[in-house]
Amino acid sequence: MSSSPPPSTWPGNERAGNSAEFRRIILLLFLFVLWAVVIVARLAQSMILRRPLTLAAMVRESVQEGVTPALRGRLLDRDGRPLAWSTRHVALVWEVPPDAAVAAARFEEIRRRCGVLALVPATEALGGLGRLVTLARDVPPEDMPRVDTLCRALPGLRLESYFVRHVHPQTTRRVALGTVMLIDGIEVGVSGAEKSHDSLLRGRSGAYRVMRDPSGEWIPESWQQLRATQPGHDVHLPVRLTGNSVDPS
Amino acid sequence: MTAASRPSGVPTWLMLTPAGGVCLVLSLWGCVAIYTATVHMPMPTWFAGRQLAWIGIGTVALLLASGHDEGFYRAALPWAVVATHAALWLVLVYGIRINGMRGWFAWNGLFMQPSELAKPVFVLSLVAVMERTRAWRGEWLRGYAPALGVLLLWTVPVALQPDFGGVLIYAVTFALTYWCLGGRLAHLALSGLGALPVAVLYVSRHPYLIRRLLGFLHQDALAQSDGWHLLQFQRSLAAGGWFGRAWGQDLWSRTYLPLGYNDSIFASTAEAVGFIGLLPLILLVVAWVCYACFRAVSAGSVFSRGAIIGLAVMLAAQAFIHFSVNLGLMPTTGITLPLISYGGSSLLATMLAVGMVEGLSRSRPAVGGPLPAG
Repeated sequence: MSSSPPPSTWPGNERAGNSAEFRRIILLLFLFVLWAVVIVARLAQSMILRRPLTLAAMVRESVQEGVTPALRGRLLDRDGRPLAWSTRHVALVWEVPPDAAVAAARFEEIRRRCGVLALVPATEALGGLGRLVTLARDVPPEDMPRVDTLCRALPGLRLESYFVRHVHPQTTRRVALGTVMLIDGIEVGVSGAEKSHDSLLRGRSGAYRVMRDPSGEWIPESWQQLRATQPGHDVHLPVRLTGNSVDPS
Repeated sequence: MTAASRPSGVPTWLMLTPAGGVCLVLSLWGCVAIYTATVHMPMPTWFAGRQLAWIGIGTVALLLASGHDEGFYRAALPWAVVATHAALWLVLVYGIRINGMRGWFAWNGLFMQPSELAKPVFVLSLVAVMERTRAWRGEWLRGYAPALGVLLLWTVPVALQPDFGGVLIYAVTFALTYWCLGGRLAHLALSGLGALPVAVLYVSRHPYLIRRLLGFLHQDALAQSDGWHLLQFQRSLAAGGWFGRAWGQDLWSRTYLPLGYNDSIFASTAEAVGFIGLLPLILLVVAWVCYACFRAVSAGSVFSRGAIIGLAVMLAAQAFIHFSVNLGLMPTTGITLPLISYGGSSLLATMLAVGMVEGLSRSRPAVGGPLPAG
């Protein structure tokens, strides 16, 4: 086979002996450049052009917004002694798996890892397959860090706060004081002074946004407070708590 | 007849060239990407720590490889062929199965994937065979069949694992290298058509491939099932935007994207560094091809030229296929991104390949020897 002269225009001491190979190498480079252009175009389409629509779908499917109820204000007598007040409690709730065997195994693990924390009996916990069940109504503050760690480790388990409205035991005019109802976790006055002064007592709920993973669990580091809570105002009533009764002043 | 080669005279222990340096920096950057993709796992430094160890081993391999010339590779090739080919068959018997693929040897926590390490050897053996059959390049039997035989010899055991992504890389490398070295497109096209029934049979025997294909063809309809991975690619990319969310803030890819440290690392990194941060990576791959083309044209022999092209094409094609999969341009294939994705064998093979390109680039024809024949 006769040798063809190397291309004279290529710099360097060594040259591609075959000009056809040289052309193909250049074409190969061109092919990869073309492929890179397609990749960059697609990248721009995915990351820039289609981004708003894609993000909207992501938010719809994975982001949850909710409210954080504010602590309700107190009803006080003329002298500032509390007649009605709210306290915040933390309950341990569990989304029970729909499968009975899975639920039983998980509940056993929860009970083993909860230690001395008193949980509801298994019959009560496993009676609500596929639903939300309260395992412990009042988690003590000293147990909170340990239980919080447990909630991060086990799916479907979480701490939820709620309010309990208390009335002074010596108050005899409870009808006048009124009652509250829990509506979407917020205490709402439905009768008496609780209802009359509800707008002052209720305060302003906070708002939060959190991302959920594919199994529906919260992603803790995504939790974001959108609006801080504002506790309710205390309201002084024109009555006086004296002895065993509440008398109008 | 090819020209004899001799070393350029530079001490082997000083062979970390700019290309090798870029390789090292990129692999360290990949370590950061792997760490942020796995930081939420129970052992957050497991993957990045192992990758760092492999970077050390790979750097030594790169230095050693770049210190050897064509003569060394020619002499070592038969031994390398026997060793890697034996490993490809032995792994089918003694290897462990991960994600349905029996492709790794495991010893006390150390994993080795022979199909990755066999890639550079495949390129060298292909080029060696093509060099010998150069005179009959246009012929089917004497020109094309031996090269095709090399491809089949390597891809059959890989296909039996089964590693469809690996077979794809071998096939693309073969096609581009063969064509670059003067092969006829007609040979490639006709053998591709001939392989179609085999490919259909292969796919039909592995249902996971059909599901991947369907997920790719009907991305919207199958978004919650076979198209889930592709959907998460798109969402991780969208989460990045122009400038990304910064390392450690890539919540979406960390939560929703499968294998963010490995097969999906391009998309998971996209959320962290954004569109602007990814462009240099793509340009680097193109720069690598340019660099290799320049080296190839300047190479002292057909063997060196072919090997440089083949090794460059192997890495660049793998990178671009990974990008394409993560961008939804191709079905999911399980192909990693060289130097960036987690995987010791892949990292080692990549650094070895880069070192071999550097070593072969330094080979020069002997004084008075003939120029490569046309």
